[in-house]
Amino acid sequence: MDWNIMELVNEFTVNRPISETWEVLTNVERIVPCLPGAQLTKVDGEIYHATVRIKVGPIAAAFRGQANFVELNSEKFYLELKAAGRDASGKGSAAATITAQLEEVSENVTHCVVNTDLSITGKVAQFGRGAMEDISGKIISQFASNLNSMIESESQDIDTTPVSAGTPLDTPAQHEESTEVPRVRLIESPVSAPFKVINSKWADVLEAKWVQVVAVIAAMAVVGILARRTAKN
Amino acid sequence: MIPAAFDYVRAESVDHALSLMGQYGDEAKYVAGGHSLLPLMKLRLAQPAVLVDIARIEGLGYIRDVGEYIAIGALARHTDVERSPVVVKHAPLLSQTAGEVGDPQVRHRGTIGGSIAHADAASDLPATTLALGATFVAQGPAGTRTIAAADFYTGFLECALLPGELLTEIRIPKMESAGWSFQKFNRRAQDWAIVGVSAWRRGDDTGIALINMASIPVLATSVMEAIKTGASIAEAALLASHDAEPQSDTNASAEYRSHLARVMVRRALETSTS
Repeated sequence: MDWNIMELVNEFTVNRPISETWEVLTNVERIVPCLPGAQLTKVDGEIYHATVRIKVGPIAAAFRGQANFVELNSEKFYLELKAAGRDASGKGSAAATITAQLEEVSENVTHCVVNTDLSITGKVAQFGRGAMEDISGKIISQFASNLNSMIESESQDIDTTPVSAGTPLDTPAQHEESTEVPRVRLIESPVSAPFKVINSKWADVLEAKWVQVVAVIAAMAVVGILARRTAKN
Repeated sequence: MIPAAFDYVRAESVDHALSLMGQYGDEAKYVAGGHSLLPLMKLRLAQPAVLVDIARIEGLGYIRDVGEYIAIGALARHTDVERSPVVVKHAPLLSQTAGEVGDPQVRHRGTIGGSIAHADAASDLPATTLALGATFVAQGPAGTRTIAAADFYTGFLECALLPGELLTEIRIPKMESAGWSFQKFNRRAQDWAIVGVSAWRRGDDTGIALINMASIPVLATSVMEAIKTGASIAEAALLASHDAEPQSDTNASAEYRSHLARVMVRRALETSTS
């Protein structure tokens, strides 16, 4: 199988304290609605199932995938996520290891750096990293913009408890011991509008590991276009 | 190489096309010549549920001299644009560009509006419209508006047209006495440019657009500024990739693309100046 492997780096800024940002970003059910085109379908223990619809110009794809946290370090504000997805109509599939590191810029400003090791195959694998970067950047910028809006509108409701308390996801080790959460839950959340690239301006916003899942998937969709470059009309 | 199943509707007029698009929404795509969209459908990258065919709409294939600029209907074929006496006389750079798109079949079926709305950074016509400072007319449910070429290309295969909007006219400013050059580097005549340059020059004023040097067609603004402030062609051309973000792919590395851009911008300026 012909795998195409690349590393993508994306950054964004959130206008919130680092502990608050961490809390939001590690709450999958809160951030998925910020992800254009994404819908969380099922939570199976520590594994999150989702579908993501992406539209780039004339190309649309619907990916099914799953992701799980490999590491959630609330002291270093570092997380690692593994994700994999496949397009239902056979445009390709992708696997990624995503890490995110939060850094405190000032009391109310947090910077996030996201690294994605992306492996793709299928039609999309012929794509260049340029298109991938373009699309992942846009998705993240749109996600960040949505996330910041969400945080703004909910700012009154956000509690100020320390990060470690009440965080929906703790370290995997702790999670194994917690039994109060049902192992499998079906999520009935509204489908957000499909990802659509609107403009090319990189907003200085924010991201989460889930964004990267989408970015990965978007990149896959795009990859296929290169196939066309070698196809005769 | 067989597209997924889709429905097909033929629009009789622009208004009909807009109402069809309103009816089918996100799942529908306009098709005219089909020489950008259909290859993507054959690869099953694009799988629109409905094609709204605008190719038979009467009266949208005109090419007119309206004084200040040339007005070109979106359905004008590349060959029409290439051979139009109005275009040859007032925008020879556009005529040349249209004559180098793809192969003869593509040029007889493909439309200028389709090529522009497809917004492929590797296509020839988008870059030339950018170099010439074209304006586009779009009709949508909310009415008609104009969009400058500089604001039109927004991302990889993405343009400023809103959902349902239809590009109906391309307005090309007259080139007056400007010198010009269209440079295209590819392995076979019908291929997309590995790198291309579309340029004109009148005194210290220039318009230089680069093909396939970023995810959108880009203006070589640094080169244009340098010429404006008296730099020599050789000096200015060194800045050719300054405003670009070339990518590596199976055809060329980013470094090679930057090299090509410097050489081809220099040649384009030399040709435009002589």
